[in-house]
Order: sequence, then structure tokens, then C-alpha cells
Amino acid sequence: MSTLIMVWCGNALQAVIVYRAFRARLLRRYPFFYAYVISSMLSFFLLSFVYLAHIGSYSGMYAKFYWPIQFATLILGCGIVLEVLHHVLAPYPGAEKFARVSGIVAFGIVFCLTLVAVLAAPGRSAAGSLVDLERSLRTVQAVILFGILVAISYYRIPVGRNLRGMMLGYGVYVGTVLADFAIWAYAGPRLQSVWAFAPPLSYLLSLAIWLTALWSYCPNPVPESNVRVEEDYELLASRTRKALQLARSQLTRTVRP
Amino acid sequence: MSQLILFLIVAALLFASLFLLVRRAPQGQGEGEALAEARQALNTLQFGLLPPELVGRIFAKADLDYVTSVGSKQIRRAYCRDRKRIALLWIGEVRRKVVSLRQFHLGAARSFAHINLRTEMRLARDFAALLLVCRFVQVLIYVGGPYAAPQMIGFTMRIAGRVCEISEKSLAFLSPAYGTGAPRRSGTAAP
Repeated sequence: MSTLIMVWCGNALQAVIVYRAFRARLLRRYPFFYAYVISSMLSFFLLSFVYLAHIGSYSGMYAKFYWPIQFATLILGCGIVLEVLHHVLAPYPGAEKFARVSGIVAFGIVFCLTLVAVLAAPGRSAAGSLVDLERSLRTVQAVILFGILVAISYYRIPVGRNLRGMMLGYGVYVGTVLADFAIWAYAGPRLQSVWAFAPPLSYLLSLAIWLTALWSYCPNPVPESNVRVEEDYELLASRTRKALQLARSQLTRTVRP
Repeated sequence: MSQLILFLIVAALLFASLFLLVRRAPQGQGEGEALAEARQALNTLQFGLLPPELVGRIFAKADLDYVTSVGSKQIRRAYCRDRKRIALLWIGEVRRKVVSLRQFHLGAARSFAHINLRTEMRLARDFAALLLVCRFVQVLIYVGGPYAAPQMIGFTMRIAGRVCEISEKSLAFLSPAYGTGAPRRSGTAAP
């Protein structure tokens, strides 16, 4: 019952988010993000319809629809990462490259680990494999998001309210789902009664964050173009290296008797 | 069990980075000013962090010997306390300049499309190592006073030497372009 309440609350929040998107004309600005929100809202209605229409044969028909829809929304969730890359990192090609390469490397590592896990357990059921696949995709999302956040933090890139909320909300949800998968894999149904509430609760929290952050349009700060930086990366790196050497030599002099 | 730990680590890292995102100021506060300040720090580091004569004076043993020769313990204590404060201020300033330099480098590097990731990684490591050495010297001075560093020369030199070695190796592939001159060896560099 409580899960059902959470689900309906979630849908109400999603509806308000979409309504605000129309009112504040955010749909054009963040199309990937809203594609995800709208798709997850529609998927709920579709699954509810399937559930109610085939109430007698719940497991068969519902499961047939559940996984394709689940994966479609999961893939659309990557749109949030694209949105962040496009709006936050696009004006900073260096940082964007840093995040992109880290993401590709992370994806490669997770893909290889998953492949090894699948090959190591060939007798696994289809449902088990789907869960593994979802977990791997969530891991990839989490690692890519982490890479972007590291790049943003390391290069001190300013982030506006809209994008900050987008990342925070999605990060909270992905992190919780990942922890949920891990604990489920370890403890099985033993902790289900306690831990089953975590993903829907975290999704509610994410929706609340999105609603607050995306209430109105807040443009992402653009880099100041009047700041003159070195024209060449090698020159910049070389100057930094020289300065580092000097700083080191100062320190060495200090500790020399 | 290993899977549990792996996924929990990923989740924990994500939450930690989100926490940092929340804690940050919403916008780049005075980006232009910060870069200008950092450029100033870069120039300071390049053309003399602080006059070497002053640095030599702060850590000069001769001053201590002179004060000791006067014979008053009170004066000696007061002298050591003040000298320690000055030494701590100096090393704190070095650290601040290094942080500013890092900010300047990152502020500039993030805009380069042809950024070299290996160089970035190595510079990040070097900055971290240098800041660690600064912190170490700071602790050394705080615990043992301004004259503790020369007494513990062996240990400190090993660390400083290690940093120099790592940095020189990691940055060796960067040819000194645009007439910046050949890299000087540590300890012999001059403005």
C-alpha cells in the first residue's frame, strides 16, 4: 500500500514537472531530460494498463512489457548525462574531453567485467541476466556521472541551478538503485522488506529535487571570454612546469642546512 | 561479497561527488578575478616566490646563535616563537601560491580542445605531491620550530627529492616550447 502511495505521489510530481516545463518553456532547452521524465511517466501508465487488463495473468503479460519498458527508460536516462555534457561541459572542451575519455574508459571496464561475469556463469536464468544487465548499465551511468562530477569539481566549472538539480536528482536515484542491487545480490530476499522502499523513496526525492531546480529557467554560467589565457596548451603546461620547479627549489632550499 | 563491495564503492563515490557538488558555490565566483589572481601567483612563483635572502634569513641559524649567546631564556623563547610564526606564514604563503597556480592552470587548461590527458594527470599528481610536501614542512615547523627542518634534513630531502624525480620524469616529454628555455634542475633554479 505504501509503495502504491509513493508511486502515485511520484506520478503527481512528474506531472507537475512536465507542467512547469511547458509553463517555463524548458522543454526546448532540455529535451533529453524531459524525454526521460515523460517516458517514465508514460511507462507507468502503460504498465498499469497492462496490469489491470491482464490481472489474472500478471506474471506473464506484465513481465513481457516490463523489461523492454524498463530498458527504454534506462537508456533514455542517459539523456540526462548528454544534457549535462551539452550544457555544462560544452564551453570547456578540455574538461569535456577529460570527462568523455573517463566515461569511455569506465564504460569499457564495466563492459569487460560484465562480460566476464556472464561467461563465468553460463547457466544463469534470463531474468537473472536481465537484472545483471540493468545493474551493469546503472553502474556505467553512475561511473560516467561520477567522471563528469570529478571533471566539474577539478576544473572548477560553474554549474547553474537547473543542471545542478538535474545531476543531483539523477545521481541520488542511480546511487540508491546501485546500492539496492548490490545489497540484493548479497542478502537476497532477507532484507527486502527494509530495502525495497529505498529506490521508490529515492526516486521521489529525485523528483522533488528536479521540481525545485527546474521550476524556472536558470541559464548555465558562461565562461568569461575577456579573460586572456595562453593561446597554446603546450606553452601553458610548460609554464606551469617551470613554476612547479621553482616552487620545489624554494622548498628544497628551505630544508637545506 | 566482492560484487557487493564494488557496487557499494561506486555508489559511495557517486554520493561523495554529489555532496561536493551541493557544497560548491552555485556559480563561478568572480572567475575573471580568480584567474587574474592566479596569473599573479604564477608570476610570483616564476620570478621569485619570496626573495631568497629573506627565506635564508627566516631560517638562519646564526640569528638563533646570537640570541642564545645573549643568555636570556625569555628572549630566546620569544625569538623562537616569533620566528616560528614567520616561518609558518611563509610556508602557508608558498602553499597558497601553489594552489593559485593550480587554479590558474586548470582555469586555462579546461578551455583547450587539444588538452593532453597524460600531461594533466601528471601535473595533477605533481601538484598533489608538492602540496603534500608543503604541508609536511608546515607540520615540521609547527612541531619542531623553525630550525627543525634543517635538523631533519635527511627525511625531508628524501621526500623533496622524490617529488622532483617524479615530476622531472613525468614532465620530461614536454619539450620546452616557445622559447621558455631548458628546464632547470631543482635547487639551482633562479628567477
